[in-house]
Amino acid sequence: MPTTERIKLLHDVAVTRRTDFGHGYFELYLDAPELAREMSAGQFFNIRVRSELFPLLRRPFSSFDLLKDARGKPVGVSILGHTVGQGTRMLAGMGEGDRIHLNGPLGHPFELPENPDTRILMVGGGIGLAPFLHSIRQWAPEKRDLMLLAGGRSQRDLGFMKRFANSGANILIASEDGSVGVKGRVTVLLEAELKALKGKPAMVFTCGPWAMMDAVAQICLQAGVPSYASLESIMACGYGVCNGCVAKVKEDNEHGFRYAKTCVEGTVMDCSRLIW
Amino acid sequence: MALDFSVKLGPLELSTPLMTASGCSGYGKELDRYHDLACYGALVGKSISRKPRLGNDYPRTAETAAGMINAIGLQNEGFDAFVKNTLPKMRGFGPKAVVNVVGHDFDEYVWLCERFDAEEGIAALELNLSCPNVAEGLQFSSEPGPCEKLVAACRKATQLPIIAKLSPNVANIASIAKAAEAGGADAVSAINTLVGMAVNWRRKEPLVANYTGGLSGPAVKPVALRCVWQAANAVKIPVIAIGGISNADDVLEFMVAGASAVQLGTILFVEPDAGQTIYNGLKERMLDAGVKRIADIVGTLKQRA
Repeated sequence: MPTTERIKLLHDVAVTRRTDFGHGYFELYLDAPELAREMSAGQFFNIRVRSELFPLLRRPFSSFDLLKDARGKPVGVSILGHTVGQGTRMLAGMGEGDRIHLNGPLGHPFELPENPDTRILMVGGGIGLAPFLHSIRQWAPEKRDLMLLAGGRSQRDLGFMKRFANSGANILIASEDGSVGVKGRVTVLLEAELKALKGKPAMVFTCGPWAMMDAVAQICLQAGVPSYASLESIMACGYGVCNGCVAKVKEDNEHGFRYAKTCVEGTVMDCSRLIW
Repeated sequence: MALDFSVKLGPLELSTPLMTASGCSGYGKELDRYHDLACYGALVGKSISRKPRLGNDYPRTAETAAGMINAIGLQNEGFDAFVKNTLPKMRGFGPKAVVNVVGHDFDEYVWLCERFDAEEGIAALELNLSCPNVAEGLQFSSEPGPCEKLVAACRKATQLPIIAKLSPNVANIASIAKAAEAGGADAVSAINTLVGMAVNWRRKEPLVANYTGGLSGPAVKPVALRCVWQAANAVKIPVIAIGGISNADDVLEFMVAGASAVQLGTILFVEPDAGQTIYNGLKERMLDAGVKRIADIVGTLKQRA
């Protein structure tokens, strides 16, 4: 008795290639044409690294690159990983022929404003830059005005930025130690870009550490520019049943907020609704 | 060979012994995106309280070895919104709808049982006697006296079959199962999560905001198996097994140990289609072992001489 339209969400896919960017950063290319066709920038999928009992839970990843064949047909996606724990360590050791299991696409994507003249400012920090390559791939053919502001601690943490070369967006980089781009936080770039708008309509999409996204949201609020954040959070299920991955959303109740599941109400959420 | 998957839980008849566990399948709509839910005899919804509950602060979950800890804090929309918005959909997915109820005191449980008794299309009520993540949640599951008194009051409040969900965080689960039976429960389900904890020593922080949470997943299966076996030996009413069940063999182990049905929990977080996979696995195992009626293997654990 299906009450919902079903699309294929569970995919057993092969890794076709791995690229290492040094310092624990890597990219896995996945042969996943069905997923690539359905996936929009800002959505995620949940990866089961192996079918054993540990690690048990899936790991959420944005699509990093949208892979196409010579005729422009989607053939797969890639993920950008950083080795931090057991799951990512296993993924970092994978290569051609290894198989992983995906649940996705999940969550709500970034949604472009109707006005094609709106400047799209993407503000990413570290591994949180991942969804923006797919974003640029998706939006550049629509001749959108795209600008990526990329932040990280140092050049070591931004080695993957070379994958954004010639992608179709203007790119500015800031690093906290000044080893690449402007020295400082990415919010410094954002403040300058918002000033430079001079009345041009703009929209900000952000993904990265919560503190960075909070700062981006406050700056945008003051500048009167709408902003949307893709929230990274600890998930058990990723598809709406566990109620684990919540964020505080303003609500007219006795508490002034409710906990919203970032996996189904997000991951992309209107910053003006969030309590950080 | 035609296989018979039907099981009886007192007055509650199910087309298969597979159920979802409360808190692990929402109210059905998310699972329904993955496959037809006919493999399930019943869906058990997340706990419903009289008023909406906000839930605990974030983070709420942490992965542990072969399992996880959660401290969601019973977040739910409350009785009124549930009955208006969610229950009608929950009834429509095919499997029977079991509503899990939770109260912060005696009166709230009774109030909920009375109100749900008046609603259409509910197959049974499961009493969450044992949520470990709210301060007042444990009293009805830890002492036989309060447990029996509460179940008896709920029994008077509703004609619906009552399933009492038991906690493993007790000295003697058999005595609590007996108390639920004496109070008039039609079945008991076991186990709820084990109280656990996870810590990041570098940050010197607990991994869930509530400090402690409920441990679930394959890691708890041996404890659940022991509890189900002890409860099944102590009572005449059916026992529903919960605890780390992840494949068809797990289901059959619990049934042999005395469970009449099982609930799938944490595995659904990992594999949303686990119910279908396990149902297919049960078919294979039954054909292989020459079992025509799955109910025939319930409680067949051999006595050692």
